[in-house]
Amino acid sequence: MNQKPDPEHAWARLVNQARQDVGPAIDRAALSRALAAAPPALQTTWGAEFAALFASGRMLASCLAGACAVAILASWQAWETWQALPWIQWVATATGGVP
Amino acid sequence: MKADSAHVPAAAQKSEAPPPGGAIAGVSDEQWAARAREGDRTATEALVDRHQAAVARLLWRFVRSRADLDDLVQETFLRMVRGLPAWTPDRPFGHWLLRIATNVGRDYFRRQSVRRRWLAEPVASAPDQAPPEAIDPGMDPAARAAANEVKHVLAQLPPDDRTLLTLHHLEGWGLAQIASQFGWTLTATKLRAWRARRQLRSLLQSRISYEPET
Repeated sequence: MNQKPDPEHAWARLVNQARQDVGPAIDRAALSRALAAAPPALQTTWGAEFAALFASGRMLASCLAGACAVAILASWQAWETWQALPWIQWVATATGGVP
Repeated sequence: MKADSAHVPAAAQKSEAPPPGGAIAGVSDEQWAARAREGDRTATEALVDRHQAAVARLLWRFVRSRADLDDLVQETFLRMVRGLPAWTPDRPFGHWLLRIATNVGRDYFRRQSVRRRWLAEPVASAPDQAPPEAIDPGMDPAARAAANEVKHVLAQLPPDDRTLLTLHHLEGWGLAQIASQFGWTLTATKLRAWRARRQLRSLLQSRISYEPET
């Protein structure tokens, strides 16, 4: 009766053999051309980063986010004031108009 | 991915090439990187010369054809150039570059996985799965065949599991090293490795059951 091979043992043997594989040489000339065509890596200054923050692509999103924040803050303040108004009235009546 | 050579004059390429061998030997990676960060192309070329073999060797574990290898090596070094402004000398340059290379390899697996899912094609006939590189008689044909088979089996795993087992099995990296490369926690990496091995085991079992008994 034939036994099936242990898959893990066979796998380990295959992997050991695969580790000996050496890849082909890369196309060094094409790599140099790609690097030469790429824009040079220049360290960005804080001024450039700040300017990028207000680039046209982000401007609309920033304005929308700002407008939403202002609207939420204003609504919250109005609600707080509205809640406080009856109490102010009550205080004013109780003290005879003296704040 | 390959650059158009027409845009780059040959003379300019020649003049920018780093001095051979010994002249650059005394300069550390960090010094070259600092110069490359200032836009010095000679320094960039020197870094490429110094690290191309290690990067290609690592990325060969991810691909099966020379064209794909060239693409990934180019992508790695282009990401290096773009990332240099963010690199700081307190990080060893070699480790930083290999981290870029492993991320490039992982992204390659992810792209393959997405394409395969969209096209709903099995691994063996996926169009992005380039045919295995022809075996050079000067090399070890058995090792190449074994590597192709291992890569073919691992290709059936999800991309992150495939990356993990590729680095663990073919490069011999430890789980701690893999975790630090990808910024994963060691526990998460161990869990992922356990899950990937379980899946691999079932794949191997199914391969055995399909093979005719001898």
